[in-house]
Amino acid sequence: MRHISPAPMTDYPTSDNAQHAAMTRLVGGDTLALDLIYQAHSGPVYRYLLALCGDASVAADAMHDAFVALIDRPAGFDSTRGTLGGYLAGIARRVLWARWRDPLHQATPLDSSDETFDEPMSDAADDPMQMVVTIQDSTALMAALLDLPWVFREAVVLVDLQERDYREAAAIAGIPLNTLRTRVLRGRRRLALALGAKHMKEQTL
Amino acid sequence: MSVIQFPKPEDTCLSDLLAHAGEKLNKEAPPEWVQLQLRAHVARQATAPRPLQAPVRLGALQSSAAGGVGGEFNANSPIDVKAWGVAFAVLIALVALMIGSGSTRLGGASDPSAAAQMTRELNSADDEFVPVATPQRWRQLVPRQSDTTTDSRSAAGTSARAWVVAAELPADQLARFGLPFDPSRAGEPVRAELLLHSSGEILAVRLER
Repeated sequence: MRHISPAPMTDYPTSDNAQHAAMTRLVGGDTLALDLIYQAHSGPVYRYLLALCGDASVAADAMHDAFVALIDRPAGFDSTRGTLGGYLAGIARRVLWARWRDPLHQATPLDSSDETFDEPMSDAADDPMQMVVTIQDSTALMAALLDLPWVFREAVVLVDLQERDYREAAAIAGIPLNTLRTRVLRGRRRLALALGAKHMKEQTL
Repeated sequence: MSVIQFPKPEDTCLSDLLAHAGEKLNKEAPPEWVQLQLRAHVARQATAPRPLQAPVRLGALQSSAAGGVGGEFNANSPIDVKAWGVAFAVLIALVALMIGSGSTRLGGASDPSAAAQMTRELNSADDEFVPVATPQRWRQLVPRQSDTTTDSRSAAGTSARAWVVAAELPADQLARFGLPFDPSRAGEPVRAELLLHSSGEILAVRLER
């Protein structure tokens, strides 16, 4: 499988100075500053949440809560510790995670055993032809992604779908860099495995 | 979430599929209601009463309004406005000098760091708030520094509740406060911060530049 090299996001953070100035104005209640910050960061944060949960309304709610948290407590952002976009995504992640813990929510809980599970590689993972056949409908990949355990799904979404820098992705996920790399690798494997299994099932029907 | 359509080339592999999914995902945008609600939230934050961060300013303003040039405060007199401005600036300088010389009349001044902080606050208040309440009202609403024997910060904070409230005023409203304004721009809104007493009375106004 060809590895995807992360690339910086083109619509992601503005310069540090502009970011700092906008934050200062936001503290003063300037709605124009909010618009600047929102335009720069709402898209990536929303898409991150959307890919994680697969539900547009849940993603929008979580993003809203993350921005409200920033507005209410702007001092919580420390520019020396990361980008504003990463900070917002981190807040949004916690909001979403709180929703996952809601027993009424049909979510895949974080299971530490998933970390140590070393899944076997399917032949399908290395066979593009077989995999292509697997994609019988256009939602197969996203469905498989949403079936991944949270930790792997998040890693794949941050790195492969959003193409974030590994360091920023690790900061958002709150994990060491090497842990993120491992999760991305295992997430890809699980994804390939799921798609391959689906293909095998359809072949036997 | 909208359905992601994937091309089906025979040589597609997982990384390509993820790349396509990423491209498709990049076209997703948050709904407009989120930004609208956030704007409303910021606006509410800006206009909501918030505790006065430097209560000592109340005392300074009070002294300025009550003891400056003397006589009745006439909100319609431009001369009085100038006089009040000068008196206010002089008083701020005097209070800053008192703090710098270690006077104990203002609580906390014996602590060098507290004195420095108070000096900064007072200096920052210089040329900001202009008292608009009459001296009599100041005396009624805000206790004098000399009336307090304890720390002026706590005294002012407990006995003179006031908030700084951001607001947009019609320009002609400035005349009612005795402040100069351009009649040709009477209909234009002016952004200002009001020092609002808990009774609802406006004690002082600071115009935003």
